[in-house]
Amino acid sequence: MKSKYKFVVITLAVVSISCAGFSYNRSAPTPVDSALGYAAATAASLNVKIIDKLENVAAYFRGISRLNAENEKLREELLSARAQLNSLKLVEQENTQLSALLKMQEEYSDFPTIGARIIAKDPGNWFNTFLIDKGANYGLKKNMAVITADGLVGKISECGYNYSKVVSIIDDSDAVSAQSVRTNSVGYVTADFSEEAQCRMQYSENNSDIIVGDEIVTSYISEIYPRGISIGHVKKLITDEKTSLKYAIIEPSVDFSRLDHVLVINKNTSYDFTEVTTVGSDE
Amino acid sequence: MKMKYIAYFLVSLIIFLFQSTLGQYIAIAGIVPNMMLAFVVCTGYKSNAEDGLIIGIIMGLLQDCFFGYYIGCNLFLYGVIGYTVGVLSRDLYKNNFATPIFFTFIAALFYNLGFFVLNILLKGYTDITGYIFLKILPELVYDPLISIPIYYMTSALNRKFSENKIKI
Repeated sequence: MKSKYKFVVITLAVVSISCAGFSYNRSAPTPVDSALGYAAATAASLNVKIIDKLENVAAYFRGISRLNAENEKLREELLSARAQLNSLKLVEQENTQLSALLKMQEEYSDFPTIGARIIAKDPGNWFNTFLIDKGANYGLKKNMAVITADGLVGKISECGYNYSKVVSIIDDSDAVSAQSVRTNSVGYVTADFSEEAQCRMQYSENNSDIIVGDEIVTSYISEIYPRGISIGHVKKLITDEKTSLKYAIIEPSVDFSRLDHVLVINKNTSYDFTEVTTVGSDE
Repeated sequence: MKMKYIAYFLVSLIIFLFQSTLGQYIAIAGIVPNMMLAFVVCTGYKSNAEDGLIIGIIMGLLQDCFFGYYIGCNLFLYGVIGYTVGVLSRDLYKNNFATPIFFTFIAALFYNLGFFVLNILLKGYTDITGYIFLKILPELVYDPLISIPIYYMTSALNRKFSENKIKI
């Protein structure tokens, strides 16, 4: 038994010494050396990577509450930014609307005009009337024309102290004297219910030469409306089978579902608004 | 009891204002569901014929004064609807939300046809087909739907005031 120990120890010493002798003073790593080194280096870097990863995971779990708080904050910021953006968009929209109305006002500079805002619409679905936020306190009176930048809306049918009732041209209780721009043929425009939000134009003479696409404007006959305000375009020509009367279906140039700001025009120039200077800055 | 009628008036005013301003934002295809009609019907059903009549008169007057061409049309229609619903539902079980849906459907039909007769037919227009498809049919769908929340609101109001009555 003892000789076996001796043998092992002596062999180990001889191998170690010879290894030392060989490896002493070498300039490059031996193949064994480099193989071992390669393996060790790989293992070490792998180890480091794993540690990194674990640290990341730990950091992830440590930071989750902080991130949550941050997320919440950013979300709030995003919401407020969005709200701000939307309000800016609204302001921009309002601005374009108002500047278009201002242009209209210059166009009809012969007549006094005043800006107003729609505050309520008919709760039922039968009439197309609405209320605007100015009334007798601003000098508004019955039978003044109401327009937007796109065209004719209607007229004032009733005046309270701080509100006025407006009847639109797509309401069948009212009719507007109209003419076509191209041919000057005269007729009147009233509501039509064959298709929604549309008017019809009944001609004064039955052999009128109006064709599809003609622009219809207010005529020179009216006492309420200044001439030349756009009402709409002819969409269809129809002959009534029973009465053989011809009429034209007209697509209004104003979008009645999206009315917001309107302009009131007073054709009767002998009478003036009380506060005409406040147009446009009347909020 | 006086408090009840003041509350009725205030609630009617709120519903009217809501309908004429914010109602435009819940309009589908340009048709606004008639919350006022639903409120008249629900009050007539939940309370009694007299209350239905009073709410109908308040609502009709509000709508006629602000948007009608003459006063009386909505006054008559809403009043008749409120009173009739009250009389018809006198012996009905009062805690069922489906009954006002049915009543609102019938009332919307009656209201719209009555409105057509009083405002359009008497003027000489006889063609009802456009009106049926563009105004009446959509309302017959929307009004019963809107009557469900209005029913719960009315029953809350009614509960509050019937409690007061017992206390006095």
